[in-house]
Amino acid sequence: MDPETIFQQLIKDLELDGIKEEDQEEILFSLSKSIQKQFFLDAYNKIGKDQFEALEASLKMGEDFYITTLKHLIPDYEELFRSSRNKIIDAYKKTENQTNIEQLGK
Amino acid sequence: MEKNIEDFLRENPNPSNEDIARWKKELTKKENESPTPIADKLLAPGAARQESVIFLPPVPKDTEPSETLITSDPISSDVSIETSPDKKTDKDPVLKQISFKELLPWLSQSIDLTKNSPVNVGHLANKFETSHKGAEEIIKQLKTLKILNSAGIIDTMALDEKFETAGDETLDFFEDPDDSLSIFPVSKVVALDPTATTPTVSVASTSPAIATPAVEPVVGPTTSAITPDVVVNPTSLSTDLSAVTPSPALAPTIDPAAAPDTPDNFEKTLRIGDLLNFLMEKANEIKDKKVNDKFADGDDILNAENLQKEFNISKESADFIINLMNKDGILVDGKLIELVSLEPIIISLQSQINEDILAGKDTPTTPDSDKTNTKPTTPAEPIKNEPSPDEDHAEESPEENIDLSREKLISVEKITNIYYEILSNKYTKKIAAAVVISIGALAVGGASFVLYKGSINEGTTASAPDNKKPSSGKATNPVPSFGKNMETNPGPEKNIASGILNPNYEKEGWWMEIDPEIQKDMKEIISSENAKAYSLQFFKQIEFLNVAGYININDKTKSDLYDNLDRIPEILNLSYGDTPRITACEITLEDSNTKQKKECYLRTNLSEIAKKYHKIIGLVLGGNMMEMFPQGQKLSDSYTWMRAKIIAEINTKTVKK
Repeated sequence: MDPETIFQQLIKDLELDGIKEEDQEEILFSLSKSIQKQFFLDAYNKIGKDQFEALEASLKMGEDFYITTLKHLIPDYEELFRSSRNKIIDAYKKTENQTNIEQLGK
Repeated sequence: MEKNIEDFLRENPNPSNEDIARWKKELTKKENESPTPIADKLLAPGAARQESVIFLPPVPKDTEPSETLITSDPISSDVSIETSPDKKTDKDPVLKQISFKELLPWLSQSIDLTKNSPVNVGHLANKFETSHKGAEEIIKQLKTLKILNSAGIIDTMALDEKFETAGDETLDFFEDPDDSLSIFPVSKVVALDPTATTPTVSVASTSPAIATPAVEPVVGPTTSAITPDVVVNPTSLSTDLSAVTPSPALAPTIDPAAAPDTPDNFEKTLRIGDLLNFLMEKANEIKDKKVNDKFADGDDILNAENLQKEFNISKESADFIINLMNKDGILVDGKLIELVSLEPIIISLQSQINEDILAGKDTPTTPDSDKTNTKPTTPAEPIKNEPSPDEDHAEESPEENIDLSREKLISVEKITNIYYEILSNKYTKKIAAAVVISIGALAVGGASFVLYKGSINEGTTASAPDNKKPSSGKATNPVPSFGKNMETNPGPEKNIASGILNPNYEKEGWWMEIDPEIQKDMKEIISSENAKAYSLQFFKQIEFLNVAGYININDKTKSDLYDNLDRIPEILNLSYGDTPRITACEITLEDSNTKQKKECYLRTNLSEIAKKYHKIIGLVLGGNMMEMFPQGQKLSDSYTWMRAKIIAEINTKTVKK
């Protein structure tokens, strides 16, 4: 699946179709950043300050170091990421629903 | 105490540092002898005595004699302000003493945030409630002490040394009273306040009642000092909710007798949540107007006046918030961005807001209604950390927790920025978004599958796979197996097209010193010209995108893949760190029965080859794989290069011997 297909799938899943493509991009990019930030925050809470600093240092040293360090420090990183992603996506959908309800109310 | 100062200044119109030190010593001695120092009498019951800063602000001559003590929160701040207007004249210089115990941690906290920038005079002045000139004097003395270099940048070594030796020492200087009345613009109050945590914008009202001449002379610098009323951490609005905070140090209480006309709501707390709700409502309103063709030019403008009206805050506070929103892209050219763009920003803040509210961190900063003489502002409660393996955190004081929480958010912000910097070097926003959201935690490295999409897109056949039930994929057309022979007896090479291998190398001392595992890998590589055979052993399995389950690849498919996959070396380069996921390539397989095409990862396990190459290059050939390895070639080319390189190296070393 190429990134374009993934992108379109996300647009569909998040019900963002019908708006300008550049806005779609912006929203998804912001969402992705929020997800990543949430992941790092959850990671920090999981591994604590010292190990998180090690993770940060590894990212500065390069992708390979980061990946190896992440796997070492958080073996279930995929699970953690999914959880972080769900938090943000759920919050987004909840807000979106609320907005729609308010729109209908008006 | 003030009498002592008077005497001292009369005797020493231009006091030297030695004079000040001597006076301080005498003063301390006298205070210790006094059963109840004046300041203690004025402190709220139970409040800790603050001595780190004694601030004697100027008061106009015609002021009614009165004595006012204003202290900030004794728990979260060391700053105390004492006013003793009687007997004072405008011309009296004022002694200020800044405790190193307070100054050094603040400087230390500033290091991460200022990024090798000079210490900001405005920040310093606001933090320690002094004039710009006073702050400049502090900087001057810090330079003398070598804590700051000549450019005003913090020297961490000197700072650490001073930490250890400072004790109760203070940094003393005299300040012209007129200077101390300086009002710093709000924009300069971007405080590096290490104690700031709560997600609120603290806004001290600058209502006309305070500014009336009847009040000002009495309150003196107290009202002046609170003019810089919004304190925001240097991180941006959209990044950390907790960055926008009240500063206990800059939220003084008021002596009621001195300011009888001061309204009850002297200080307001604007919660970020309220601000965001307002923005959402405004954005919705704009959207509605646009949908209903009722939108007019300027309807989307949001300015300081709007905020003032909505939240009843000062112009400076409103300007400050507007600046933040401009910085964060919430406003563009003074106009509120469209709802669709605004929502993600709000969402990114929302989860944190909810967390903070649930944690009970909604910090009331409005002074008590009874207006007691010394009313500390409520200290900000720490953000509750989730359970952490760091047991040390458990018993830390609230103040330490505040620092930890802040530290945590700064760390998270930093690493996220680094992460996105890497992503932005690789992808457009669109692809980065898709990759992060769809792939997961390893988007930085794992995205190679996107870049190195396999060139087999159509017509490649594979065993009919069932997505949920992996097939064994029996080989129908086995490719020559290279591995078996070499594993049992690699031996000296027989047929080497790209150079004649000196067969005596195994007897050489340098060879014997090589790790046996690497010896084995080298032998494997030099013992065959068949790059394909060598490589195919690493082609492992196929994983269907977004579907749990794998199938093995039959050898015909492996062979087809090998012939068609491009740019393998880059994948190798990325994968030597034992990261099987990033060796995956995207392919499309066609079900031979249904002719249905399926998107798949090919898990080549090429990291195994990469690790072998990496070790050989690093340990035997003496080089960096990333620099040496030929780029942009097929796997077979890489193999050929590697093989020739090893043979040449062996021959060189063996001949020399």
